[in-house]
Amino acid sequence: MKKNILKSIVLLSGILLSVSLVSTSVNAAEKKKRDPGKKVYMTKTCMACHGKNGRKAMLEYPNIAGQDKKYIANQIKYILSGKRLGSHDATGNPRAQGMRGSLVTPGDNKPRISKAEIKQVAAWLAKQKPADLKAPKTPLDPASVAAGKKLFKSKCKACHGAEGNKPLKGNPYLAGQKRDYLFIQMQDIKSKARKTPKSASMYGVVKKMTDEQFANLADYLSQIDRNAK
Amino acid sequence: MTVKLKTTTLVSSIVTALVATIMMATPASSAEKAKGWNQGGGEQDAALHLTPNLENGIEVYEVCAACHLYEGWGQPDGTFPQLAGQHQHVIIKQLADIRALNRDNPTMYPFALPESIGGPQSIADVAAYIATLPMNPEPGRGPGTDLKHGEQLYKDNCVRCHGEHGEGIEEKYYPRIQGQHFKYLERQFEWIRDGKRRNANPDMVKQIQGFSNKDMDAVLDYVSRQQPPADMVGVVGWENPDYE
Repeated sequence: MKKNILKSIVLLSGILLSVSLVSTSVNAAEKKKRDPGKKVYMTKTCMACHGKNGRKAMLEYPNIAGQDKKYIANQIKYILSGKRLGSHDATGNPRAQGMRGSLVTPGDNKPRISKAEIKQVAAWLAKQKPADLKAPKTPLDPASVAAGKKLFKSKCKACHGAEGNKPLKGNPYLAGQKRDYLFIQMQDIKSKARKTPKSASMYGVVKKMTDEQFANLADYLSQIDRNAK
Repeated sequence: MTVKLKTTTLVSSIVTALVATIMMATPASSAEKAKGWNQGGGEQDAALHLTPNLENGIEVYEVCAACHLYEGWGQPDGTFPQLAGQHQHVIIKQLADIRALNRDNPTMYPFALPESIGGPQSIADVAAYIATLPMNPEPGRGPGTDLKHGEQLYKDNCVRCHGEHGEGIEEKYYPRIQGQHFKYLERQFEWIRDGKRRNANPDMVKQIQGFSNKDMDAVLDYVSRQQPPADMVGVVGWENPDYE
């Protein structure tokens, strides 16, 4: 009798063990299937500049994790076609030239990223958790942040949503974006160095604004935490 | 009197216009400060005289691998060149030139910065490491339709510096071009011929001025098919074990 009980315990634990083994191997198989958008992100060299999962961009390049899907896809297309350029970067070339160089086969002007891949990477990036706030290198002037907050409400909120955190579809999230990137983009839209279909409607808003006001807005927006609950 | 006034106004408006032009041109012209083909000095000389550390070279190369791949084989479509097997002198010179803005390369520029890869020692280390990588056995090639013409052009124009089979000359900073991706060669050749690549050797610029696009394609197709020494070529599908 005792022997039988022992036997069944051994048997039962054996069954349990194999069940758990099967389930972990199923999990492993599921885990292995990488999101196709992430694959695009890794193999088309996006990660080199925009950092792990789009949250750690180098220099004044933008963080793109959690950005609006349609906005990302459009910007990639504009940059590939040469429609989005921007003011000169440190090399004397239009800002977007570096990115274009990594995605467009020179000579025949053929992009090495397909339309389907653009969709995939935009969808994947939109799902990523936005970058955590990074404290500014030098503390921001509270007066500038307050001025930016006020300006934002009157000038920008309609399209980019409260605190730059609820944009209309196809418009970018601005909350928590890098300060220098925001500042340069506002300048570029004003000077028309950045001239894309959507920026045309923004031009009317920024054309009479000053660098100081851009700085106010950039200071304010760069310190809004998109991950705050 | 009125004449004098007019002149002053004219002069001052010219000056204003000039100042405005200069101010507008500043970002571009600061980048256009070409230092010529190979004046040496600076980081280039510093890196050349340092003893390379291959272990650190592996570490530094990881940044480069994002585009040039762990194998250093680049992209056959020419977006990114093959680096594997390139002469150390050449890599050192090109890296130093790109970060000094003496070679126009906006895509690579941020990765050539000291904050990305480090100082002259790192340049020395990564150059030494790249030279050890076996080369791509299947580089991107041209259409193969004009190779006789290409061979003749090569013999008449290129051999003296780039060598019998495109092996280059290490000490003179002449790059190894054999087995390089055709599309990449095409772009650089065009930029050298047309003055966009600032750090080009002026002798080469002169030498290739008369090349038509057809001549260019023929000679570069020929070059991309030149075989590196057998012991320098990797096997198809090789994966760099340093990054397992």
